[in-house]
Amino acid sequence: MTTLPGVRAARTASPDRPRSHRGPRTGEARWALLFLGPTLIGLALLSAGPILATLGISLTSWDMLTPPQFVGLDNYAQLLGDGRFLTALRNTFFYTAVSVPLGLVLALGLAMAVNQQIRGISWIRTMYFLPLVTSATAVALVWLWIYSPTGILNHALGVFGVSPQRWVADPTLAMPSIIAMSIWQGLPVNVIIFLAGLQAIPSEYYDAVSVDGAGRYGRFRYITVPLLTPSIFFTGVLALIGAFQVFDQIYVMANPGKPGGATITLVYFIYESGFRNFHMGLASAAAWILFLIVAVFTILYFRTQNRWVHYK
Amino acid sequence: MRTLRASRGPRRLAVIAIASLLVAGCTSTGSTPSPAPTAAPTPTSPPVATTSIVPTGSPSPAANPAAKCGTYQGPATTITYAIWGDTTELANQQKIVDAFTAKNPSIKVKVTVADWDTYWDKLQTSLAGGNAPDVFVMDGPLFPDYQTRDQLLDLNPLIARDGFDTGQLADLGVKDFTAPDGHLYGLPRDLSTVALYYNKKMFDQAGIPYPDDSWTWDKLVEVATKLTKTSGGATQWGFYTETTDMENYWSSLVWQAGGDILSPDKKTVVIDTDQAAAGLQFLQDLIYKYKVMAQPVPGGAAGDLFENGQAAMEANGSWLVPTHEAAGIDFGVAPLPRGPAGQATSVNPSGVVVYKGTKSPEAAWEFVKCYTGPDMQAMVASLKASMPANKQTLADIYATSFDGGKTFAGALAYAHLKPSFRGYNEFTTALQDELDSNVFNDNKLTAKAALDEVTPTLKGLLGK
Amino acid sequence: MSASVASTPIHHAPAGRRTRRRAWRLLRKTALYIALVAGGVAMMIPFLWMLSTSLKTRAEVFSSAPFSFPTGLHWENYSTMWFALPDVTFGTFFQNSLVIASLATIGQLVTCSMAAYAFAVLDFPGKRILFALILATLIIPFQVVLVPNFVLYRSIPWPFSDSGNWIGTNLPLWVWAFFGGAFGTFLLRQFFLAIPIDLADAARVDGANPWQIFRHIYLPLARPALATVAIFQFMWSWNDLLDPLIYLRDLSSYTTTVGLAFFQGEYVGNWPVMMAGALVSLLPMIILFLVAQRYFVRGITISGLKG
Repeated sequence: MTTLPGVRAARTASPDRPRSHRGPRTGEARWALLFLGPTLIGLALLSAGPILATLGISLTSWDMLTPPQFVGLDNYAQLLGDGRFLTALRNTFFYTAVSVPLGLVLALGLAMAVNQQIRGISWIRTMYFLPLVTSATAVALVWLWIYSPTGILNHALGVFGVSPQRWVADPTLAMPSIIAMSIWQGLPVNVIIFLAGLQAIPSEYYDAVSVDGAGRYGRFRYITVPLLTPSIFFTGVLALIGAFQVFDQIYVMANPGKPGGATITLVYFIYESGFRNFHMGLASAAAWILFLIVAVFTILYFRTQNRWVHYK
Repeated sequence: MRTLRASRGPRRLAVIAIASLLVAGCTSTGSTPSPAPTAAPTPTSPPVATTSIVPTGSPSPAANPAAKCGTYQGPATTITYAIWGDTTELANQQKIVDAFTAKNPSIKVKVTVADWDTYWDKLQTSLAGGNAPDVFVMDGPLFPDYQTRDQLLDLNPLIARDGFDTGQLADLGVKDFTAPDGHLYGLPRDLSTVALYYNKKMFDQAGIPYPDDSWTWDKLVEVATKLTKTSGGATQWGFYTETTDMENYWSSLVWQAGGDILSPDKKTVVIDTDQAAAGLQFLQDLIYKYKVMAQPVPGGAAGDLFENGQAAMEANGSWLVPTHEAAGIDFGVAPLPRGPAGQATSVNPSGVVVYKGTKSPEAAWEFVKCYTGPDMQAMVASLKASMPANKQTLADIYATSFDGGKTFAGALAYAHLKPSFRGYNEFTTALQDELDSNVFNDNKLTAKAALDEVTPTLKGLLGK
Repeated sequence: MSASVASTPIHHAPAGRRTRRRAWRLLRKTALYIALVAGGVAMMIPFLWMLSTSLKTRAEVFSSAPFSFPTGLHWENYSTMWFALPDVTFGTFFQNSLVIASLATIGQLVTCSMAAYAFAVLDFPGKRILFALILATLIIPFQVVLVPNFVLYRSIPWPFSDSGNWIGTNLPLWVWAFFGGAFGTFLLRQFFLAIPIDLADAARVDGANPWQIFRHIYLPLARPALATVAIFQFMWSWNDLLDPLIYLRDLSSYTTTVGLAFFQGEYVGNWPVMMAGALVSLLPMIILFLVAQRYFVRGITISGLKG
C-alpha cells in the first residue's frame, strides 16, 4: 500500500483533464496496466486480429471458399458506383438522422415519467422493459399486422378520413414505418440508461434549487438536464453507432423476399454481399466504408462533448 | 414471416415415379439379376459437357450388393450431417439416421439443424473455416456455387465402384447434381413440384366443377372471377400465389408461355423475350386487370390466403401439403392451367452432398447411398412434405398416400428444373427486386418494360 | 429510493391552499398513473400477442384475428415445446443459456468496470487513443468479423473437445467477456466520470491506493450502472442466435435461442409452440430486471464526504 507522491491539486473530472501543476502521476501507469490488463489482451487478440483481417480481406476478391485474390482498392471503387450500395447508404443516413434524435427525446421523456416514487412503479417499469425482451419475430409480426393494408393503423386513420396506406409496401413510407417500429423497440434500452442516470442525481441538488424558488421546469433545466448529459451523451453515441448498423429490423420486416430499394441498409448490404452473393471482399470493403463514416461522426460528436456535457 | 418462407426454402420434390414408370417400364418390373455382382458397370460414354456419364448401369440394385445400404467396412467413426428445417424435420431425420445406424453400427451420425437462412451462414462460415459437416443438404439452384468452388466430393468413383444405380433416382434430380464435367457431386434426396390447389368447399358452394388438366389460362381467369367476391367486408379471392420467388409460381408461367429465364447452356439471359414477358404479364394481370388475386403484401403479413380460407385456388408447391392439412382445408390438387405454349411446371430437387475435405469419405458415402435407397426414401415419403427422389418410392408410396400425390408426382413429366447456376442469389435478387417493385407489388410497369429495364444488369451478373 | 422530480417544498402553505394543492396533486398523480399504465400496455402489446398465441392451436392462429382470445387455453403447447426434441428437453437449453449468459455477464462486469475506472480516474499515457480503439470495436459490424473470429477459435488448441479446438464448445460464447468490452467500458466510464473526484482525492490523501479507491468508493456508487451493464449483457448473451448456432455442435449443448429456431419451420412455423418457448425464455430476463431495479438506487450522496 504505497502512498502516492504528493497531494494532488483539485481538478475537474472532465475526460480530458488538464494536467495538474505537478505533472502526470507516474505511479498510476502501473495501476492502469493492472486494471486494463484483460481489456488490452482482448483488444489485441480478439478484436485487433479479426478487424485487421477484415481490412486485409477488403483488399481482395474472396468468396470464402476459394483462396482470396488481391485486387487492391477495386472493391472500394466498385462500391462507389454500385447502385444498391448507394441506395443502402442513403437509407441508412435517413434512418439514423430520424431515429436517433426522436428515440432519445422520447426515451428521456419516458424515463422521467417512470422515475417516480409511486407505488407499483417497478411493475410499470417492467412493462416498459418488455419490448426489449420480446422475441424479435413477435415484434415484427405485430408491427406487420399493424401496418397491413387492412390493419389497425389504417382503420384508425380511416376515422379521420385518411385513405389507407400501404406502409411497408409503399416505397416512401416503408422506411419511416420501420423507423417507428425501431424506435418503439429501442426505447427500453435508452430508458433504462436514463433511469440509472436520473437515479444517480442526488436529491440534495433538487432540494437546494427548490429553496431558491425554482419550479419544476427550473429543476429540469438546471439540474436534471445538465447532470444527465453524460447519460445523454452515452446513449447518443450508442444510438448513433447502432443506427448506422441497423440490420435485424430490416431483415425481419423484409422476409420473405429481400429488402428492396426502399429499405435496404448498409449492414444488410454487407451481409447480403458476404453471405449470399459470395463477395466477402466487397462486404468487408463496405464494412470499412461504414466504419470510416461512423468514426467521423463519432469523433465530431465527441468533439462537441466539451461544449455541452457536464461531468459533475 | 415464416409462412411464406416456402418461396425461399428447399422444395421437397418427389415427382419422379410416374414419369419413369410410364417411360422405363423395364426398370420397374421385376428384372432378372445381372451376373457378376462385383463387376461394376463402367462408364462407356466419353465425358461430354451436357451429357452425364454417371453410370445408370444395372437395372436392379439388388444385383450389386455393394450398392445396397449396410456394406460399410471401414473403421468405426462419427460423421456430422447438417440439415435445414424445424423440429418435425429434425425428428424425421433422426429416425432416418437411426435406421442408418442400425444397418451400419460402426458409423455414428450427428445431426445438426438450423433454419434456412442461418443454415447457409453457418455452412459458409464452417467451410471457410475448414471445419464443415461431412454430409450436408444442398439446394438445387445453389449447387453450382458450391460445386464450382471445389467444396464437394466427386461421387463418380464411389458410384462406379459400388455399382450404385443412379437410374433409381429421379432423372431431373440427378441432372441437377451433375457438374459440367459430367460427374455427380451429390445425390438428389427429394423434390417438389408446383400444382394447383383448390378449396373443394368453395367450388361446391358455387356449383363449379373442380379444376382438371384441361384447364387453360383463360379458364383459370373465368373460374377465378366467379369465385372472387366481397361480402360483409371480407373478400374471398378466386386465386392466390406467391410472387417473391420464381418457383411459386411465375417461372411456370414463363415456360407455359414458351419463354425461359436462361438459355439451355446457361450462358445467355433470355427472360426479356416477348414470350417470357407474356408469362409474367399474365400474373400481373391476375392482380390488376382481372382482379382475382390480392395485391401482394411485402413481409407476408397476410399469410397464405388459401390456407386461411380466403382464396379458392392456389398455385404453389407440394411442400405445403402437411400445413394445408393441418389448417383443416379440404383441398384437391390439379395440374396447373396450361399456357399458350402448353403445360409446364417447376421442379426443385434438394440433395445430399459430401464435403470435399471430409475425413471419412467412405462413411459419408455410405450415408448418402443409404439415404437415397428405398428404405430411407420411404421415410422421406411418409412426411408428405417431401417427394422422395427414389422413383420406386415416389410411385408406390408418395403417389398413393394422399389425394394430390399423383398429381404432384405426375407433374414431373412436364417439369422444368428450377434454374441452377453460379451466382444464383445475386441474379435472382436483382430480378426479383425489379419484379416486386414494378410488376407485382405495384403495377408501375408492364412486365416487358420491367424486364427490359433489368436485363442489362442480369447480363452483367451472369456467371460472375 | 429516488426522489420524484416534484419534490415537496420545504416551507408550509396556509391550510386552504394545502388542501387544494393536495387535491390537485392527487388528480395529477391519477392522471400520471393512467398515462403510465396505458403507455405500458401499449409497450406490452407484442408480449400479449405472444401470450395469446401460445395458448391457441396452430390452425386457430391463422384462422382467427391476431388479437382474439384463444378459444381454449391450450397449455399443452408448453409441454410440447418442452419435450419437442428427442433426447433433450427444453430445460437443458435453458440451463445452457443460463450458464453462458451468467458467465458472460460476470466477465463483463469485472473487466469493464476495471477498464472504465482506469479511463475515468487514472492517468496514463495513450489513454485517449486506447479508449478510441475500444470504441472503434463497436463500429465494425459482426458479419464481417464472423469468419476471422471463427478461424481464430479454430486455431486455439483444446484437447478437451472433439474437434481439438474451440469449435464445438461453448467457450467462444463467453470467454471473450473476460477480456473487456466496449459497451460496458463506455457506460461505466461515463458513470465514473460523473462521480465527484473529491471523493477519490480525499481517499488518496488518506493513503488509499487505486485498487482500494476503486473497490470501496467507485464500485458501490456505480450500482445503477453496473446493474445496467448486467441487464444488457445478460440479455444479449441470452438472445444471441448466430454465435451458438455457429459454434455449438451437440444438441445437448444448444441454447434456448437455437432451440426456439427449430420451431420456426421453414414453411409455416409452429407459432403456438414457438411463442410458448419464447415466453418461457424471457422469464429469466424479467426476473433479472425486477431484481436489478433494486439497484437503480441513488448513489451515496455527497453529504457523506463532509468531514
